[in-house]
Amino acid sequence: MQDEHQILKKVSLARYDIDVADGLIREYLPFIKSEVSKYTGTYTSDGSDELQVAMIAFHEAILLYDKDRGAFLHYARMIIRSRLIDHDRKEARHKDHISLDKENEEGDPLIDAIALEHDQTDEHMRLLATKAEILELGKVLETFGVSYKDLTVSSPKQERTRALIQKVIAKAKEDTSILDDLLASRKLPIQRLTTDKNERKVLERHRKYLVTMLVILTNGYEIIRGHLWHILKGGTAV
Amino acid sequence: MRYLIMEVHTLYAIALDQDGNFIRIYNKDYRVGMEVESIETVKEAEPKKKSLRLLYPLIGVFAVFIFFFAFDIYMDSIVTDSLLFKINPSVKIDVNRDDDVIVISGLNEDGTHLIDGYGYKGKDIDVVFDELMDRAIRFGYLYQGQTIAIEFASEDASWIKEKREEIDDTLIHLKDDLKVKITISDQSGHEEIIVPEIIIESDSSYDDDDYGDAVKPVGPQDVPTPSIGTEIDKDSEYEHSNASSDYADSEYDEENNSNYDD
Repeated sequence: MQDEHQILKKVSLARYDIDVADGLIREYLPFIKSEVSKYTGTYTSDGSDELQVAMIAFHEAILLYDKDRGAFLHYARMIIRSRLIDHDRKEARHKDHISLDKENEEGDPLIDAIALEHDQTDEHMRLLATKAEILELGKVLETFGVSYKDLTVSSPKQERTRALIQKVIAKAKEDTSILDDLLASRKLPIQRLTTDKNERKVLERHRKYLVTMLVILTNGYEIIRGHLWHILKGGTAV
Repeated sequence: MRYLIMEVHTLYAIALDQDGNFIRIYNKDYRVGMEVESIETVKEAEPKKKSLRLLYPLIGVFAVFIFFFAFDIYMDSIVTDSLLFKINPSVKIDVNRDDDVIVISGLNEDGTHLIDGYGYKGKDIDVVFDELMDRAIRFGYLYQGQTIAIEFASEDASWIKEKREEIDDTLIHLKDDLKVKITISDQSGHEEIIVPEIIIESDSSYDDDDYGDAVKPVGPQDVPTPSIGTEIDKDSEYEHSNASSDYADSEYDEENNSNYDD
């Protein structure tokens, strides 16, 4: 009874906080894996599709749970099973597709044959380089008091705001001393970016996002800039 | 659209799309630095709705209040008791449990004429009776020597008793003006409340000239008109009677039948 009360408290908090939900899923990962194993009848590995489906189902249970639905874990078990069945049905529709693990005429897995067409080393190196850029960007942003989580809420939604930020980015690209100022002072030089009071207010509201975009314009983030090339209009590193 | 995986957690990952949006997506075994095309954005809970639970007791009280209010209105519209009087105009007065008159009906042509244009809504039964008597005099339906037959219909014996006393006040007032014969009877069938016939005789200063030629003959279906100055019959004062027997047994029948012989 006490346990159920504790779970309900956590579920209630997790409903409106993705990080609490993430923590709850980590806490109940053994339970989720056990449910998957019960369903598949096999051991559940960490990266399996079924485990991902079950984790998303557990989150769905957190979002939809209501006291009237009985004990939370019972409800979560029901949702997990239901989503696993849906997943199986979806997979069954694609059963005629050839698996990449299937062997070709020479006895080699198909995935190996396909991989030959790509330069695996290049791919791997690119992944490592991208990862390094992303981690470095994260560290620099931390010095501005900005995290990637913050950016999920401060990304501009309105078209007008996005246009204003693109205008500011263009200005910063023309006058690279703005970026130097930013890195040196760790402060956003808003007054140098615009003289309009209203625009300043808008930029202030999206300060974290703007800092991130301006930092990306600085040296060392070529891959990320390449990913965002059409909004940065081919911006080059300073 | 391609998404660059920027951060990975157990349940979700943060991805940067090509438009520069940082979004939360479900983690499908992603690693930082991966570029993916197919994603599933993290579902969010519906915004908290203001709970109505705190208002439930208030809503309950309000519902009960509305129920009783509606019930009260309904009960006020139900006829519980009636008073019927016959002069020549015959009129039925229906009241609710609060003795408010809710309907008056003319039972014959003269009755309809008597109540035509008369506002009775919300008035007490004794007030309506009193005012209709005044109208009957004014319209020339009630004059010297007339008989007023009053009948009560109610399931409640005490109501008949009470109304009888109230009506008596009006009758006493009439007695000052006119010499009329009044019979009161009970239609309810309550044996313990059988109202005796009473006759109120007046020493009114009115004489025949006051009413001129307004004396109207009444039809045989109506109450027979007694002769002016009919005496109270002591013997019949406490005689049990009902509406029909009033007219059959009362003493003026013997004495005044000649009035209608022809």
